[in-house]
Amino acid sequence: MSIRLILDTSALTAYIAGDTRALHIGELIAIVHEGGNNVAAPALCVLAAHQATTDTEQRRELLDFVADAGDVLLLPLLADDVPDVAELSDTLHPDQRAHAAHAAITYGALLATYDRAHYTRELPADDILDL
Amino acid sequence: MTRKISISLPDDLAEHLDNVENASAYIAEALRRRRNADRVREHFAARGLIITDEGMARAREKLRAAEERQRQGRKARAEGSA
Repeated sequence: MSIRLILDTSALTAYIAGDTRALHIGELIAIVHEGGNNVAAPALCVLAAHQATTDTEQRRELLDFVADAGDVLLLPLLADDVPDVAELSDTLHPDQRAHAAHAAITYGALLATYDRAHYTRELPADDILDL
Repeated sequence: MTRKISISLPDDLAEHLDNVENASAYIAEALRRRRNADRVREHFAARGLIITDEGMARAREKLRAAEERQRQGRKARAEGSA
């Protein structure tokens, strides 16, 4: 199984909103799984999405989403990743965007986001999937 | 652990399996993919978000087009740097 899609903070925030945007994200995740692959969320993006809401239920849903039995793999920020993520964070602020771009580069995956403009300095345009 | 079971398949699928090296592994992989996709649908349904076949079809086309653009982009960059 390979990781084909990375969800950034904007995608995770849309997921926890539980509206039609969340539904579109769910459709994409189901298709990726159907193809025998995985969807992942970088840990810093999960933290940022968690901080973006104070709703206890939404926070629980987010953490369930990336739990062991959830629909999305949680990507840790490993010690070996820190130098590259730090370098990316020179142009990608805040740091969770650097982690998301790093994950897309590392896995050769598409970055699923509502914030394309933030990533275009570091990622090829065709590595970004507009949600 | 594995379990031996007997199943019935339409002729065309049975013929397809005749040409597959490890039919059990092939079927297990297909089932695993379907189960994982079904779990996503169940998890979203529990939140009141119903993933329909039409929605899946739209997402499939969107992802297919994006992956094709990604492949073409990588090919062009590789040729440009050669």
